[in-house]
Amino acid sequence: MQSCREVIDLLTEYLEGGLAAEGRRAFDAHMALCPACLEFLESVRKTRAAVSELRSSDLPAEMHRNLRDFLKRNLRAKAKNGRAARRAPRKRSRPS
Amino acid sequence: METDAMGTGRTAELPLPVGRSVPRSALSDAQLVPLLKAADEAAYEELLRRYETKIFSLARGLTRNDTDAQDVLQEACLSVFKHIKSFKGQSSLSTWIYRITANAALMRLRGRKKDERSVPIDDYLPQFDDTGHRVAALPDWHPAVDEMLLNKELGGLLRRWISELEPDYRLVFVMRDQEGLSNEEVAAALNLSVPAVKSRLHRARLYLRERAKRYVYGGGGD
Repeated sequence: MQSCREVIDLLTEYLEGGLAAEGRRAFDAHMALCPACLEFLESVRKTRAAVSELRSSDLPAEMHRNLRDFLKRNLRAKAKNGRAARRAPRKRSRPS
Repeated sequence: METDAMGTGRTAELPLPVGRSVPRSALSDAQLVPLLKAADEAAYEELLRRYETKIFSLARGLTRNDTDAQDVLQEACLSVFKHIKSFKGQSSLSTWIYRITANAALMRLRGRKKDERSVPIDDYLPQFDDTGHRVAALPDWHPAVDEMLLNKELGGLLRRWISELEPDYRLVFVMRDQEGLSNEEVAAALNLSVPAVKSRLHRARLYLRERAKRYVYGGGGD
């Protein structure tokens, strides 16, 4: 049977679904016989779930507006420069 | 096959030519790219709609500071605007944007004074005896931690503990576990291999679990 150390080293791989069938069976067999490791696994799962709740979705309204103003300013400046470049007379190369 | 809005990193089909009448929201990221290169305002609007919150959330997770996160968001948008012409599509657009964001956040972190000290992650990893059994100074877990996690009482502390991770671990952990990117996306954005991402993620997860446990046993002193 795998040791607690080996099982804990594989914990993320297990949670990520990265263990092959045989490795998964060995992992599950250890968990079935080792309540301490099972509790460890569950505690990592719970901490992870709490972390995913930290995702923020609130962009400050001012920032939302500023970004759009910034975008418009830059796009207009780009368009203006493009027009100016097209209007500018091309330099004629001197005949040699 | 095409790259979806979340950027799974799948190979993209060549974008379809689209006219002004096509709603930009109906286009995939890959189809937006030529329009962004052509400075199409509606395409930029759509890009912001898809990514501004994600960039801001990631930047806030990495810098732990609203002002810095806003600066990172602005820098990331400026970088996209400036460099979209050189975007070759070798990665998905989302991966490219996350890479820009992570780099901008790292620059901020490096520019900070050393008042925010990272903690040595090894101090929080499990210890084992010669036979491979775990040795712990404290009992392993406490139902009170479960309760606090479930009631979201630890939100502020979790943020602080994450902020005390060394930047290499924090980048991976925030992108993967907080922001929900895939291992492949994190690897592509940070120029790491997937096994390297998993290894950092693993250590960061064990660290955070241990901090939560010690907080309960330490009576809030940790």
